[in-house]
Amino acid sequence: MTTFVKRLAIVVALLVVSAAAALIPASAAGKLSLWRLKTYIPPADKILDANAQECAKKAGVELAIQTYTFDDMWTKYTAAIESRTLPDIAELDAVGPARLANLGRLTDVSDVVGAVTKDLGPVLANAEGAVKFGGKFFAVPHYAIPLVLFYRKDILAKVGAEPPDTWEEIQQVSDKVKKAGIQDFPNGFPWNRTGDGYDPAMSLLWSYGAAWVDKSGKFVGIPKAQGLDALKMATRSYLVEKTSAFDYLSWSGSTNNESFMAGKITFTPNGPSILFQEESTQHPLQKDTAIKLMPKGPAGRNLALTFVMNWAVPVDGKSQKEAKALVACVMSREPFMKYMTGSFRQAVPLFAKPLDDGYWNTPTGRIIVDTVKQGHPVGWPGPTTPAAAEVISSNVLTDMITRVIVDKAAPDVALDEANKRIKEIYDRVPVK
Amino acid sequence: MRQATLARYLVLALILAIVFVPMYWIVVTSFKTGRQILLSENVYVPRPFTISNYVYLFEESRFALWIRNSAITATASTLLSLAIGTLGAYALTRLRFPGRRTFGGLVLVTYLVPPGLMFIPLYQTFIRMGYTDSLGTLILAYPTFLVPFVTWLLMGFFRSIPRELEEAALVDGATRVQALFRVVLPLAAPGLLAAGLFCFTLSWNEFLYALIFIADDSLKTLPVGLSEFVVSDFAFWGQLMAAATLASLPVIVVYIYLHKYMVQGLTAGAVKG
Amino acid sequence: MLTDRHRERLLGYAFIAPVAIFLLALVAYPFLSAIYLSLTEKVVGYPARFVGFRNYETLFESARFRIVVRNSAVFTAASIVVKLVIGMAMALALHKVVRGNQFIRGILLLPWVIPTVVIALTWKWLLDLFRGLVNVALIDVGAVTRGVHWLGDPTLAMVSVVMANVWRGFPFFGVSFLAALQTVPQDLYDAADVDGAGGWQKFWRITLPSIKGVVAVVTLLSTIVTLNDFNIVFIMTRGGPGAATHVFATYGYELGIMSQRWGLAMASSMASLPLVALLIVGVVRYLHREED
Repeated sequence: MTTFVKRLAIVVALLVVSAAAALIPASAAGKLSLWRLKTYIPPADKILDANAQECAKKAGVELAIQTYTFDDMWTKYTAAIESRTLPDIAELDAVGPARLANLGRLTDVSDVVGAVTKDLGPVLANAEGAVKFGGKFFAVPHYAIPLVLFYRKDILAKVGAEPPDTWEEIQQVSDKVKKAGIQDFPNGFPWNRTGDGYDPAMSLLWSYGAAWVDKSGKFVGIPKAQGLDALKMATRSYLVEKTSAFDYLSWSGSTNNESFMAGKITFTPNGPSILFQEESTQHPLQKDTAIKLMPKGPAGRNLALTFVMNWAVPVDGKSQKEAKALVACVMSREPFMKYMTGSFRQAVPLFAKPLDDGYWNTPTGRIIVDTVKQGHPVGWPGPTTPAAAEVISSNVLTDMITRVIVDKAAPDVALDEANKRIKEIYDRVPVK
Repeated sequence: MRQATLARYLVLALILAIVFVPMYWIVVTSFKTGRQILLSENVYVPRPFTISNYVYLFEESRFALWIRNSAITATASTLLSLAIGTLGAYALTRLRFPGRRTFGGLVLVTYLVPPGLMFIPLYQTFIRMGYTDSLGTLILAYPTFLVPFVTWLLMGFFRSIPRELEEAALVDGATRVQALFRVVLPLAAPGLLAAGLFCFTLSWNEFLYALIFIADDSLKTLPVGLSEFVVSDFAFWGQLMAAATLASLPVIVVYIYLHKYMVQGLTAGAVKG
Repeated sequence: MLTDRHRERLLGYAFIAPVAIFLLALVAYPFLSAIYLSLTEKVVGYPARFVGFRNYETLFESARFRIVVRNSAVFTAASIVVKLVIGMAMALALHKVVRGNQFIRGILLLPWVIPTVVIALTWKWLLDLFRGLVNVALIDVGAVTRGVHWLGDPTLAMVSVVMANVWRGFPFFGVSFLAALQTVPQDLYDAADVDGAGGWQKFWRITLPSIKGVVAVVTLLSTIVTLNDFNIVFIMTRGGPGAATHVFATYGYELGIMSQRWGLAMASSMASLPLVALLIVGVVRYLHREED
């Protein structure tokens, strides 16, 4: 008993000694804190961090960089918002600036955007909706990850189909692929609780003329006829042609990537990450993978641009001037171009000049740039408001679709429910 | 008699098989390259067999740091919870004082609020205390969900130890505290080990508080570090599985060692003495 | 001069003081704050506005919430029952087995020790429609011609998350029961043998009653933890397909973190409180009764 106690005591003592440093709180004086998204391109992340640290050195400040993953982003930000511990520089998603600006927690960064514009040209008009409120900029657009349509060239050739340009055509080609016995469930459009779900859902609705707000951002409700058409299009592959498997509704953000690269599906909406993954693993499907602009519907091609990352400067910190200067530095020409060109075509700029750079002048690059140029922000045809943000983050659209698919609800019932939910949100949440 | 033994071995074999399949998948994946995993090549046996994922853990990621942080946090939380819980359990089972019944029940009230929602008020408490960005916040926070269970579990074990043994010690002139340490604890050793294992494993695996309370990258614990291998569009399966394998082994080894040493050693000694 | 009675009382208070102080300081505030917030309209970042029971009304009128309650009940009940059975089987089997005992004990602990994130991700992969080992094996041996929709069929999805939860959690039951078994005096069994008792009788009349306390506490705790389980469901299905596996924790996440409606999220988790409170009171009474 005593030898055991002695040994235990030694172990505990050792741990205590080594823990001593870890238990003393870190002093935060004179340090800037920056929170950024951890991406799937480690080399690009490294470049960004190096840029930020160099800018910090130039300004004579110390910089502590913290990363978060996409799934944990709002958990962290929620705790920070409530506890007033937002970082000095916060990289936010598409709805973050709208939410935080409405709370009055963000600094006006119009001057930073002005400075960056001198280097990188003007901000894309369609990227303003997410960051400009009341004529002032509350965040600086960093980059976008547009959703494009991935498809298998070889499979389309086998069934004698042209690359589809409309939602209807996608259904038809999928049906052909299934009937030819090539794949059981070739239509990989997942109406799940991730961006792979709500981004195409918006594109689909909007391309059928079924937006839920008007140009000023006021609630009008999804129009019945157009909404039902869109809903029918969304649910067909699951219920009628059976070219989509119900499992897609439970997919995570990476499952469609992996399923596509495993050769199990023909179509799927995704950011350019699949291109990067295929390139970095010398994937055999590289030559057969192609991308296209997301499809158009009867009301045109109204693409959603929901994956945008923006730099914001919250007012919680005491070093807003230094923070703004740092953002301006990181977004100045040299560091930004270094980051962009080191991102394997994953970080698509939202300022005019880099977007037109020769870096994007490849077949896939052009499609990616086109999507960004045409994309609309959350809340289209109005601006991004906290209410629109909640519609997306409450999964109202994908829930509407899965109500029909899984619960076998009648489409007009599901549509009514969705409209009721959206109305309730707009009644409750301020639309500034 | 033989039927019973056969049944036992069959049950064990079945359970082992159920445990084995996912484990096998985890370990095997840790030795595959990213390409292999993506292409589902050589599903059952990795070819090429690579240790690059393990190397990555130590060279590129801060895996060793995460392990260190988790080890410190889990050990300290465990010891703290065991200490507090043991005292509480002893008082609630052996000592008579008014209000002990109610108190025992109240202890479990902590479980009425799920951590998923408690984390913000708890975080704000630490901010108000001015104590943030340190592993100490976790070491103080974890016992909030560990202590009630430890208390109740040990109460169960203490109850099954006959009072006569303690009374004999008290008659011999020992104080209550001495009786606790010399008689009760050794006999409750299996319970202490189970409770300790419970505390350690829960602290080791805890994610939410570690995500929110710690901002410093160098103080990240293992679960938070691991979550970074899943980056919304992509999962670094190889490294993730390698990390999971490495993170689990020490706990198992320690448990086996402690079990042999603590339970058998202590129990045997106590019964003899 | 302190009487023995007094000394015992003081010692009692002294011993539970650490527990009391700890819980009061770190649990009371969050708990009371949670109750208060559930009665307010609280959006993250905005001040709370008292609205009485409106949140609860909203929830009880919501069809989705009713589904969440039902799913949580099914998920928890199924998981607990299976874990109880497997854990007991594991404990009974290991209790007498001598060869390789330590090693097996260690192996069986692995599911509990591996980080939950990894377990959820692994099970998600194993049950993948196209590439999961389970479907690949089932097709290979000819049990099915096409992949089973483990995570696509609403019922099977629930089965899948229960499976993963059980796999992860049964060692906890097993280890605790095993430890409890070791405190049962062998003479009780010897006496029963003399009386000619069979295996089942020994289990029901001696084993189970002797470890009742541990079984009750372990089951109670696991029930509470399972009721609030987030990671497994979130990672495997995100509550899908549709809302087929949406449980309290994923719903609370959707309300509180994604939609930023903190008051409503609190109300949602408070809704499970009466059930949990009943369980706790029940178990505590039961155990105290046994004591007397």
